[in-house]
Amino acid sequence: MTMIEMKNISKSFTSTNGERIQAIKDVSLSVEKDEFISIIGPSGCGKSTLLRILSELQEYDSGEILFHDENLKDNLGFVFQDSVLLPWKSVYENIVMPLKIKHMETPETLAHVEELLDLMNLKEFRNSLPKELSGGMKQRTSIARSLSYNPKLLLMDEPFGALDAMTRDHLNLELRRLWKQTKKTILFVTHDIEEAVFLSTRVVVLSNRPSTIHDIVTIDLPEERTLELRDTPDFINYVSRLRGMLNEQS
Amino acid sequence: MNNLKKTITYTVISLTVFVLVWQLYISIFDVPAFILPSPVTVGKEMINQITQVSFYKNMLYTLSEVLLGFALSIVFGLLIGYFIGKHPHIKRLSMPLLVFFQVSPKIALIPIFIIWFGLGYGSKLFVVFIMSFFPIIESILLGLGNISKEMYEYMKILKANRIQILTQLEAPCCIPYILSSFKVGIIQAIIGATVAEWMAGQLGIGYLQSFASSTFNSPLLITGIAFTILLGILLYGGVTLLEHHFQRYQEVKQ
Ligand SMILES: Nc1ncnc2c1ncn2[C@@H]1O[C@H](COP(=O)(O)OP(=O)(O)OP(=O)(O)O)[C@@H](O)[C@H]1O
Ligand SMILES: [Mg+2]
Repeated sequence: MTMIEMKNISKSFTSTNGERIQAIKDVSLSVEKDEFISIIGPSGCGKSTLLRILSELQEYDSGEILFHDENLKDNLGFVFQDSVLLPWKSVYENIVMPLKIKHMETPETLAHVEELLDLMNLKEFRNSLPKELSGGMKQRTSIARSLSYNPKLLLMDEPFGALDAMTRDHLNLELRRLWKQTKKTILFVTHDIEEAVFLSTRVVVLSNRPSTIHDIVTIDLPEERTLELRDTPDFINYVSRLRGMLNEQS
Repeated sequence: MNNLKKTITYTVISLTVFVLVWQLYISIFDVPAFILPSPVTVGKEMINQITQVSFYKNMLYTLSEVLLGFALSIVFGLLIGYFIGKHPHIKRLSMPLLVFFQVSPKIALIPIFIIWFGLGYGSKLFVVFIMSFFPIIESILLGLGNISKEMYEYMKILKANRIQILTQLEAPCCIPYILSSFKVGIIQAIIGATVAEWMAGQLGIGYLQSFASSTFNSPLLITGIAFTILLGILLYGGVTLLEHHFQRYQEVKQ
């Protein structure tokens, strides 16, 4: 079932010195229900812009976006590259804040928050302030927060970009598990090709500016993904194929 | 609590030393009483004052000017500050005026306020108001200006309405700045009130001082000064307590 349909989306910016920058051009993409789509592409090609357009943080110049149902759009989750936690709120308060704003504080949703704290290994830190957290814990809090209201659509802009490899591996496993368990549709921007292959059902490769969709690669790997999978020939094949495409771009 | 005990102990010690040095200075150099009366004389005058009804009238008069004027400046400062902060054009238009009023020595403007608002309570209220009004406006502009674009975007993702953005994001981000402005404002307000009382009128702790000064009643003058300081410490302490209550929001400044 198609959840989102983007048709010929274009967007250009005017930079401060008056130049016109065409960020994305004629991007068309249909997102199916329960897909995990990663978006990769050269730096500055418009990956963030695409997510921001989908979440209505940014206007677009032309094209059309169809949401299968409006509730999807009104109740989406967004994980920013740097966690954007409220510094005066504890981990727990940050995570329940969306529920407060959306008037969704019920015994069920609060129980769900407890599960998320558990899932993200944040139990011990529930009363800590953001400044007391490591980068990985901040990002886990930010993810838990975006999941607190159980959005069906989750947009993530390089959520693990600033993390070390170990933490990243761990969070990749968690995210993949969460996606399978809770049946979400996820659009995930990354510049890490292995991460994209590991997590996704499909990987979208954007070209250099003005960015169009260069190719979409369906990742046909086993459902159950463990870290060992990364050493299998199939996995390595996908990675080198995608790397080749990216290298063509730059 | 232990900390509080320590603070009190140190305060008592330093005040005692101060009074002793004062007494010694007078005894050794034989200073005439109208220039600097001894601590004992001043102490007697203080007791004399606090047993008189008129003294409380003066204190209450000044206190009410400060509290009422300060309250007005909070109400108008917060409203107008927020309005300016949310409208970039109005902000740009009002910036020169704000800077002008911020740097102008407002004490020098008191005579004109007296002409405009009379010799009585009104002009003093206005002086207090003006003293704390501009710091409050500035604090809001500072607080709002410090909120990152991403924070607003996060609220937008949550579909927060304007009131929620105000209460959940903007207010918490402004609170530490507002409280700092209260600290500046309350002291300025007391200065303004007492100076305005010197210049006009027949009531208030400032009037008491100008009366004492014109009659060369140094013990009364020093008593007046001491009680002005006491008033300042009490109000400043009140703001500090408030700041303590909102300690969490100091994180915004980091
Ligand atoms: N608000 C803006 N004003 C002007 N130009 C912008 C704006 N936002 C993005 N751009 C430009 O649009 C292009 C795409 O930006 P975007 O942030 O989407 O890239 P990206 O693919 O996410 O890059 P990165 O991988 O570095 O995060 C860039 O050239 C950028 O300079
Ligand atoms: Mg980006």
